[in-house]
Amino acid sequence: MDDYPFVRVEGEGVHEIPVGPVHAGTIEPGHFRFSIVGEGVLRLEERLGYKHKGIEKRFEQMTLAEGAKLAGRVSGDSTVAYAWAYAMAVEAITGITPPPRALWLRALLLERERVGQHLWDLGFLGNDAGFGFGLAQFSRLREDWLRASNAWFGHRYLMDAIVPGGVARDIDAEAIAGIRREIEAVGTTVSTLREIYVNHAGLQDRFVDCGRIRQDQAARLGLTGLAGRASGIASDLRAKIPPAPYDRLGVNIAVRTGGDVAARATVRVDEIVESLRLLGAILNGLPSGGIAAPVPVAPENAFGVGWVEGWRGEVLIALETGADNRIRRCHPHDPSWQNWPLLERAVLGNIVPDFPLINKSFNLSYSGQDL
Amino acid sequence: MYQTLKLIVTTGIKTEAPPQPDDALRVAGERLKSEILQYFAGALTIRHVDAGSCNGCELEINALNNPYYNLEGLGIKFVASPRHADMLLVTGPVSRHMEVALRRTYEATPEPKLVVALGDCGCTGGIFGESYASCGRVSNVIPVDVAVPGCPPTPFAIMQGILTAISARKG
Repeated sequence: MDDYPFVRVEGEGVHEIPVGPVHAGTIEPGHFRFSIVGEGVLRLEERLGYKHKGIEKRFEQMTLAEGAKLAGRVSGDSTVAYAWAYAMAVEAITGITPPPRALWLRALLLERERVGQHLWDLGFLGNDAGFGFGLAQFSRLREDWLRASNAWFGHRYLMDAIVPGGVARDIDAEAIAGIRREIEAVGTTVSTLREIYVNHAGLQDRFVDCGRIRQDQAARLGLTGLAGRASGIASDLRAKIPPAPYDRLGVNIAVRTGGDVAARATVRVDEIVESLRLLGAILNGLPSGGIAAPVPVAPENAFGVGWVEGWRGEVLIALETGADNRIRRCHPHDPSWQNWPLLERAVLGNIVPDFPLINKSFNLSYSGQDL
Repeated sequence: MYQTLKLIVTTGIKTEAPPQPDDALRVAGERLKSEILQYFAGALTIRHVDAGSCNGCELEINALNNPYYNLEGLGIKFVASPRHADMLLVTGPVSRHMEVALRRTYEATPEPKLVVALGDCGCTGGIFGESYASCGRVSNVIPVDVAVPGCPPTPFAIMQGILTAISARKG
């Protein structure tokens, strides 16, 4: 197809396996070049960029308001984190603060996104290790969660729910009661499923010791977010630089040191539990009042930043304004950019059939990386 | 084991009724005669191609195999090789870096074949549109039979698109 110079590995019995860009499952495109002996991986070289859509150039054609929609579509599964980071940048530039109720609702939306994605990943992690029951149960819980999001906020994935100035929709007493019931139901089932996963010898045999990134590697190479916390890097923006209302709520960071698939799965379960607790606390403390502040016309040549802990890790938006309330430049930064190189390390010493499991345990964004 | 079995039994069967086909989703006239389409009923294989989406559509495609939608219960399954596929399900505004991969996948799919373009990006190029980096709607690159709008389209809407593609046009 083309002559990209993948690094060749020499030696007796060394083979190359090219995987992608079209992958076997329903997943984003990217190319993985494995050098193997038997089933053992000697080297993995990733080649990404297949999803490059010219997002940064597209931003330059937009008004600040239009940019909010594009920001939420850089990586669809992190639409809430991106929308909040973008809104934060716009609000920094225009010097406004959303009303308190809007900020608390933003946290509600962000934690909903986190729980939904973690449920999804835990199901696929079970499936990638041959435990189809796990996928059936977690995907059922996830579907209930999405339908509830649609009922209360008008979109299964909460796209466009956060806008500069506040949030697009409010919730009423019926929604609050519904979310409380959800928290209860999901909490109970996740607890049962955690026990099942932990006690399943076959599953644990696949999870433990698989795809390990040591803490020193993680620190040296800048592993961030969820994957970082599973390798002992205790960093979470919700605790480190908490935006309102996290400064009032207090977040217990989930940290494990194993750095393997088991650790990344465990961090997800711990974060679901913590997010359910946060959702309850948010409902208890939700202030009354308006849900959006008017956004004035932005000054030209102004610069603003938004920074939010999405479910994968830190999402950053850097925004520069032009004339007429338009975007001169916007850089959306996905935490996957930091973590993709670490996947090449994590697979070393593992076998090829464990690659889908290891890859899923990181679940990095291809679209967010490629822009 | 007991916990697993208990949860299976208490969960029960969750599968819901599938949607009816909708001729409004068709892009072109029927390319395949109804005599051929009948072979796809009850046994359809689909190769999914992500031609540059934001991944939102992929989340909903994967949801098709959850217990509520249970696509495999209709005899429809996803396959790893385009050579085994009857239908391509394509998402995204076809990034230029995926153009060749998409064409090759299409050419590798044996006739008779169908193409369903998914999502606002697949239908019109969406918010990304045509640019130096994207070709735009899927039909700019390969022939499309059915186009399902949405951002992302719900699993129900996706099922409707798939079922429309394999059903004969009404009237």
